[in-house]
Amino acid sequence: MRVVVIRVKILETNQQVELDVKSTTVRELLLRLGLTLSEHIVFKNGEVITEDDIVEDNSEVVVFTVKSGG
Amino acid sequence: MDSLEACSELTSEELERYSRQIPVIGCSGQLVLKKSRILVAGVGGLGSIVLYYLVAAGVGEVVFIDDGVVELSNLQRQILYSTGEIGESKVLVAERKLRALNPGVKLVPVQAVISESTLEEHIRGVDVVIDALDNWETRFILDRVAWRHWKPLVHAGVGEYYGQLTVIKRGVTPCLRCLFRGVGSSSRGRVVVLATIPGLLGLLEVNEAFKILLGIGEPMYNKILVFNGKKPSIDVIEVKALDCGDICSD
Repeated sequence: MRVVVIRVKILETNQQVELDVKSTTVRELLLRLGLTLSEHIVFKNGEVITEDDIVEDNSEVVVFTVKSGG
Repeated sequence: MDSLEACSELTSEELERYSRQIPVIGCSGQLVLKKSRILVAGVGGLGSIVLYYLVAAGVGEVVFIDDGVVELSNLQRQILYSTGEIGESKVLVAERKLRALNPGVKLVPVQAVISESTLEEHIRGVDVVIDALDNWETRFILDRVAWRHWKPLVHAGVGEYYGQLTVIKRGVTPCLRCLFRGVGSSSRGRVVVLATIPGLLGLLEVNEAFKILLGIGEPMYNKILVFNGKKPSIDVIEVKALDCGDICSD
């Protein structure tokens, strides 16, 4: 029975990903998605969450790639 | 209702030059722009378009800071510069072009590395600060100085097909260092970007500056606009109150 899901929206690629994990840190989440910490900002319910913050099941997070150029 | 008094403070040349804009913002709005002072940090891809529109629209005084010279690889997107100007100071070329565009605007070109001391020297009396930089290390310095002086900061960053934009205002939003904490401030890579992207984001920055100056609409406070040049839509992330700890303190 699958009850544990973290939903991730990746803006750059317009992907919606579902992860079957109970909880994970932002660092682990990005690692699973193949994304780098230094170039991505993760929001959970409108709040920025950083590398050691925990994302729990039934969370919905948005990931976007921060651009540095001008 | 626009007052005759406001219109009488504009010259006949200004009334004609801005005759397609005054019906929208009024003589009083045009006067607000004329009395405004904006600081633009960086005169590259974002800065080129930002400066063109600030000056064209009649902002009274524009301070712009950069230490770079025009390079061939700039010309694909930095529309202030031409092939014959390669090797010349960007701010001086920009001044020449912008003066020809609108001699009524006071231009303050500053050929300098963007540092805390340079910004401290020029930020007083400024109404809005525009981030047209290309790296986070300098952005966070700009953020710190703008925050210290309670100046609204319009931020944009671009790369490839993408860009983001937000407006920072002390007392209303978190600082840029808090909002984008975790971003590698030491990354200073070569900008690779589709030519149109800095143009689009730069124009959005100017639009935010005008909203702030004119007190119209809803500036992008506590929102991050995420632009994807390959998509037919724009994402806007709502930002809730953040616990910034002492990240934003001087």
